[in-house]
Amino acid sequence: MTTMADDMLNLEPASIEALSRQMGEPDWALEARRRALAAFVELPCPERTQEAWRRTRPDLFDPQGRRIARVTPAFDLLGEGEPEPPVGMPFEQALSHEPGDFQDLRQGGPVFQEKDSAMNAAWRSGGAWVGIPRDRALGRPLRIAHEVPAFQAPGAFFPHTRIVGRRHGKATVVESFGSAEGDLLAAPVVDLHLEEGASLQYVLVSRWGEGTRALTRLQARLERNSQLKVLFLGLGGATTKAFLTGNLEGEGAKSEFLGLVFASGGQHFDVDTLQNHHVPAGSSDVLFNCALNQASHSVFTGNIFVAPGAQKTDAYQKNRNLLLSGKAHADSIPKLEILANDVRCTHGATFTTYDQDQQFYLQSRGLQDADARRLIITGFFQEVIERLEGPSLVAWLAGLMQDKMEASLGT
Amino acid sequence: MSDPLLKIENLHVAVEGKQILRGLNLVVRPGEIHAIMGPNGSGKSTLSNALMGHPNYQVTDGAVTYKGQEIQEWPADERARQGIFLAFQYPTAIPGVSLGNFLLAAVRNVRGAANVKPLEFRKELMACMKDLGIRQDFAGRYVNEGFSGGEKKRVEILQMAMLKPSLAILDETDSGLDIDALRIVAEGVNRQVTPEMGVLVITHYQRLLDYIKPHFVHVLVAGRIVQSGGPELALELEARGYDELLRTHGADAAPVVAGA
Ligand SMILES: Nc1ncnc2c1ncn2[C@@H]1O[C@H](COP(=O)(O)OP(=O)(O)O)[C@@H](O)[C@H]1O
Ligand SMILES: [Mg+2]
Repeated sequence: MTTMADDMLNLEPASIEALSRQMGEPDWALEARRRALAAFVELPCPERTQEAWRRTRPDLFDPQGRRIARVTPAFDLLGEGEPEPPVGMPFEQALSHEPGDFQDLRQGGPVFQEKDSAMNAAWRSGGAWVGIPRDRALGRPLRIAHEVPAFQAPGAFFPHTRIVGRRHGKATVVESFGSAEGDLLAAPVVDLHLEEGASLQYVLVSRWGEGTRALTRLQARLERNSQLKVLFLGLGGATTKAFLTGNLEGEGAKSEFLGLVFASGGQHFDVDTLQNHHVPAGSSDVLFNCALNQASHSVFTGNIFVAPGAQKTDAYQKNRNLLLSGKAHADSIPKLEILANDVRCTHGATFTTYDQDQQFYLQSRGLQDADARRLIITGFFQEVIERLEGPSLVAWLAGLMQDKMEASLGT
Repeated sequence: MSDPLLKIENLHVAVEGKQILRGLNLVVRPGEIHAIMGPNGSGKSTLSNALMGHPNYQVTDGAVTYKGQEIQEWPADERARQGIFLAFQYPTAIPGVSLGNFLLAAVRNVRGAANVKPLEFRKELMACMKDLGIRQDFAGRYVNEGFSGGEKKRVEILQMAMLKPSLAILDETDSGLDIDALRIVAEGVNRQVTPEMGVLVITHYQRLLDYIKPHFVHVLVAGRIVQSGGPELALELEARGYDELLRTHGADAAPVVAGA
């Protein structure tokens, strides 16, 4: 379901009041929007001189003058088997049903650091909530689809998803974002909170329509001994800027951030990851593979921060780039800030074109040139996808990559 | 006498502008096993790669005829589909591609997709793996990624078993194998040899030839076959080494690079 707001987005309180009313929210949620609007107005616009915005123009994400699209997400389960108890619902419903998970909004928070986070909170127009029950392992992956159907351009869509993994709960959640043709600003915010011992696999499939500029912010908080695997799958959209942050706040927490980008045409993907170690004995791993065709461009910035005293930290980071065309371009920027002395941190980046030896090896086994290339590219993705658990999930993701590859390579 | 399966005439091959093979002649008829021996750097792998159609190996003179056809213009995949197989000296890793999927794609291309049923393929693969002492979980592992030298060689012969070539070229399949593995691999090869098939066993040492008995032995020095004979020639070479041959035939050759 989509509804377009009547008015163009502006800085008057009336625009957020109407949204809040239409979405049937409690009063405190409107108050939270008001605070966010004030923060949006106050906070400075990011400048191109700022490190995070050097390679993607921040002014692309100005919301003013756009019409807001409201979208209710669809929920289903991947794979086969028993139905699982429902654990998710649209974000705005959860505000009333699960107020305990929104203490921050009810108690005068959050404090916004970034203008775009405030933008999402002020004009939130979709999103989902998932509560993974305590001490329960959910067998089948939960899939949440946010699809913006035909809309009046220029449009804007601000989904907010919140997933809470309660103590020792375990689940897989897949969120996919898509949109119809036309100029759309999409700025999803995802926050993941894992309580002690919780375990989550979270996949974000970014398959926006060709006219979409997407600004994605994912923030994860990991408490003691919790485990998180995130996969960011960058397939669609014209321009994508994404910030993916894992905050390891409890000892023994473990985070793995995986990324797969298949860029084609003139697509631009600019992704920042941050492995934020606040406490000792955490481990974090980043593996980000980008395949680039035609005149596409990708930027990967891998930040590792180890706070003073966060001893026995293990932090790894790897970025691989497969350049399928002479005009494609990939940047890889590692940024390490390590303020503890007893840690292990490694990082590395590779840039390759089709490997001639691999090509010849496959051809010597009867595969034609084009098939050999497809197999090499498939392998490049598969290596990342297979880090996830669950055959139905792996198969679904492999299918998505395959579709994009076929669309990009042609027949 | 039957028609030659493979006929190599006056073959000259250059790599990156450097002339490696310099007038090589060889005829292989169906049912024959030929051993090619020679010191490091003599051009054994160059011959293997050139026969398989590696684009970096330029045929500068001479001709290769396979089943009566000149194959100069055939790309590697066409050669594979026509039944030529090379077991590589240094097999390449293909990250992210499982051995099972890779072999399925290969077998489909070589036998024709319509002739390959996934279930039967799987059964055949498992049987071949068992014969070669390859654990079943290797089907799910990425091609040659993290395999030991010996595992790579076994997997090369596994591919040969699945592709059932008419002409098999084994480039130093014995290197990296301990004595037990050598026996298993050699037995695997012997099981596959048919009276229609030709085999080129390329080796630096004689020991593989204790298991795969050649009908002919050729000595390759500095890009040419300098001596041919029966199986006894291999033993002779083992006893006297390559030094003398190198002195006589290798004088005008590029210096031999150790370990090449
Ligand atoms: N890809 C290549 N690039 C450059 N030189 C090569 C290449 N392959 C082989 N050579 C050179 O060709 C000669 C023969 O090598 P090779 O055929 O590998 O010998 P062998 O297999 O008998 O040890 C050596 O001098 C080697 O350095
Ligand atoms: Mg060699």
